[in-house]
Amino acid sequence: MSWRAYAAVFKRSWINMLEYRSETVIRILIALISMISMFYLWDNVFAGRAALAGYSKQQIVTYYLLVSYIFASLYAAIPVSEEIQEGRTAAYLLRPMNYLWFHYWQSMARRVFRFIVGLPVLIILFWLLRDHLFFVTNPMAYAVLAVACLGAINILFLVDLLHNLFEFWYTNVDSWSIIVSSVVTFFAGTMIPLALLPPYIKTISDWLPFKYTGMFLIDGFMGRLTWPQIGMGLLWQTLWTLIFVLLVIFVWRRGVKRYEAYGN
Amino acid sequence: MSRMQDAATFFPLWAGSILNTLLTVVFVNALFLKTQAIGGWSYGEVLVLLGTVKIIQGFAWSFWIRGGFRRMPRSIEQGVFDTHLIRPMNLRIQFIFDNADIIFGN
Repeated sequence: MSWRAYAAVFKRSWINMLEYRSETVIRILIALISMISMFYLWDNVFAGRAALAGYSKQQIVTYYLLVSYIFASLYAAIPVSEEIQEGRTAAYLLRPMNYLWFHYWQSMARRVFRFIVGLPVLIILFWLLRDHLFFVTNPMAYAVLAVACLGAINILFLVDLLHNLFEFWYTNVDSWSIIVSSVVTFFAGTMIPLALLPPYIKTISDWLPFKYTGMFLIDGFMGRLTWPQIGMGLLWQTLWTLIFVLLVIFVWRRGVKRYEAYGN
Repeated sequence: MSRMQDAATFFPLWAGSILNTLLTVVFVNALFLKTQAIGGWSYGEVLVLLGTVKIIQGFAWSFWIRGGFRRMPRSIEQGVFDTHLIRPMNLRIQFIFDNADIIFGN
């Protein structure tokens, strides 16, 4: 199957997002409210302090704005479990296209769309809070952020896909989504930077892939990590991606073998 | 009650709601490890505030956001709205309680 087919999937999903753009706008407004409230919260927490766990007030405000914006853009739910449950997967299996790649490109359009639509909001917010922010001028930092964002997209997609594929064995795996999303968002460092948490939680997070979908991106971007640490982080992102790819392929192959769809 | 019929579905929903609340408490704890008060609010006061918000949020999610009224547009779309109209009962009350999704009130 040529890449042109997946480009068409991307384009179709993009058009669909344009059709339902109000959903994206509402999502961004919710993230905006959270960003503003977090600014005032941390403004109070700092109250005269110079730094907390190595973060200056400017860094922590920038951290929250960026992590909220990037995570809200990149974390897109995929309807795989719903399709398996309703028997709609059968129709996709007959198409000359890889089902997993199909969903990858379909969700990629949603992520890019959210990223672009949210950008003006972020720029306005940066302008309003310009005196309280940490500005990054190193062009390499932007390049690292872009590469790390791609790695984060892959991990988030594969974790979500893996969780969805268990629908082949259990009815309504959607009920696990609160647990999965709570764990992912918390250990990604979107609620609070992991450096501010007790050491045992930091140790747990070091053994999980989720910090490479949030905290690692922003810390690397703001220059809080050294180049060797950034290199190691990107390597871990790649390693986790490979682990999840193998797991997804294994679960998918076994799942499809036991999959049955009735009716039309 | 329908949520409780399938234990394999009910348990993760219930555990997810508790986990979500616990992680918020961890967040508050982490903040108070670094400070004594936030905007004049002590740790205990923040926890009471958090609990109050969670209760209100729970009701909102159960009856309006996740269940209850949220199902009304779908029933119009699917043409089953008239089944509610012909019942000898207040329409709003029907939608609030008929499809309440209590487990999502985290």
